Amino acid sequence: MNRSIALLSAALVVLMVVHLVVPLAPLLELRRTDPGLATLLLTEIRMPRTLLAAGYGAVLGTTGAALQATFANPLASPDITGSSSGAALGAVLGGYWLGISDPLALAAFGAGGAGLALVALLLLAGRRSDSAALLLAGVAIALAAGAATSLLLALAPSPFAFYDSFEWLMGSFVDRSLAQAAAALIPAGLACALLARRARALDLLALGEDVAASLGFPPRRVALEVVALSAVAVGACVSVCGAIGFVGLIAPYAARRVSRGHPGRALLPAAPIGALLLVVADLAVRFAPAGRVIPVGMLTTIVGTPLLIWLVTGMRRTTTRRFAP
Amino acid sequence: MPAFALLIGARIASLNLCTDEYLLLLARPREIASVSFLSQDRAESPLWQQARRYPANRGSIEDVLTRRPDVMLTMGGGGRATRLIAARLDIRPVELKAPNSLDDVAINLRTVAALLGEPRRAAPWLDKLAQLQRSRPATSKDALWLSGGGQMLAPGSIGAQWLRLAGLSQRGLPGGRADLETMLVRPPAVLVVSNYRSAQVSSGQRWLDHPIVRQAKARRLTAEGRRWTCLGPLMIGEIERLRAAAR
Repeated sequence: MNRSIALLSAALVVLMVVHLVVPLAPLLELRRTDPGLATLLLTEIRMPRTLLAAGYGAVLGTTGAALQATFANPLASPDITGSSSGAALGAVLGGYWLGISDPLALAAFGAGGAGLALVALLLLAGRRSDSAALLLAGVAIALAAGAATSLLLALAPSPFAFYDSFEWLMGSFVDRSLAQAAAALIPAGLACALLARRARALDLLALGEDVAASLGFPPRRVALEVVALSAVAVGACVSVCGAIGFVGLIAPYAARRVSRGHPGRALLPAAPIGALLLVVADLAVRFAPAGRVIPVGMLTTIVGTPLLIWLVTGMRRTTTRRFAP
Repeated sequence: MPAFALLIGARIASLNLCTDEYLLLLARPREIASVSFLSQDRAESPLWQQARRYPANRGSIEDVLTRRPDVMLTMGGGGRATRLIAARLDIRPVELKAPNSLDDVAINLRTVAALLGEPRRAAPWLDKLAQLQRSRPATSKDALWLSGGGQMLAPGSIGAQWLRLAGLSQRGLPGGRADLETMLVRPPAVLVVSNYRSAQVSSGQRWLDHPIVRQAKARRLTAEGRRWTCLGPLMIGEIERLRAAAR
């Protein structure tokens, strides 16, 4: 597993460098004429985008893996549980209605929204619910939060705000500053580091609640910690980049292949896999026709939906087989 | 002389922010039956205080029926049904052209003054416009007029024509939008940033707050954004101000 993580991380570094220097022509031109400006271009404009793509991807991978382990369900990703949509709602409320401009305060609003969505999910579906209940509760929360976000934007003081709903519901890394990247990634990174320390507890949880409890990991507390930390990590990223779907579903799924099915140990490889996915997706949307912007979340959703369908139909097959006479 | 010029003392209802501008500048209070609600909004029109003296409409003929106007001013069309209803009620629908050039602004001024039965009321505005065109600076500086999100005036558009009268020539960029790399690598000599609803949050507004835009190596001027929505006669004062500032 360690070798796989090392390989994934190496691939990630290479792709991040590619993400940073593409398109290459303006950089080469500037390096000849004005090297100082070339450095500024790299650090002030391109670096935030690369860092956010990789960092947000890693956050989606880690939180997705942690939520899936906690809910014992391969569908419990930040988007499908409604926490991304809740975070967007929180950030829109804080930014457009309460006039908060400090990125860290906005991240706190995002975290609050994500936390409320996850608490609602726990109340509606429960922690050990079957897939259908979780999926339905999550979809209901996501739809309601998405509609409320659009409503808040439609009624916001600025008439331009409504056009932003596209970005909030689909995500984008374009034209973010270093300060914004820091506000998203520092809290999210801390939360993910703390989540990673719960990896063993989550593995034990998979063996049964009694097993985990007997080894000193009270399941309720572990679950609440995972929910709170995931809310902070997802909320901080969403408040800067908007909600991005399906990476948090795909990355943990792939990571469990690496960790041979251990849900807790999958947290570590899920981070570079999520980062790789988002960096590649954000590289791909750059090839949109000039003047057109494709939100990166649109691409991840298009690629991710078949996997969701496959997962859901796969679950149904195993259930029917189990109960077949 | 067009037939509608005979309507001495016509009462006019304007259904559009941009037609409101001509009406409010040229008409006497008793000649104004209604203006659009947008003109009464401080964020949309510099004439908002004056506009609040008149009943507002939401851009629909239904809102102005009870005011019994003689003329209904629109821009960009009101739809077939609106025209049919207007004809039935003896309201003359008059559509002003959305201006593509400074000549169109002059034509609209003349049209509204004629509707009011007093063509000479347009004269002071036409004189100022002509004076502004005569005194156009011979040379112009490379400029970018930007609003939220890097949206800019298209070169050749009427907005760019007004800007040229201030001695600034709008640069063309692919996609019709300025991006951060352009602002860093090829900043314009003069950056004209619209203050339209600049205190309100939107992602476009956040773009203008990006350090690269804030610290762009360019002379920075502020455009009074409300006047640039309609690009009508209110631009005359705006261009005089920008011309002095850009010198």
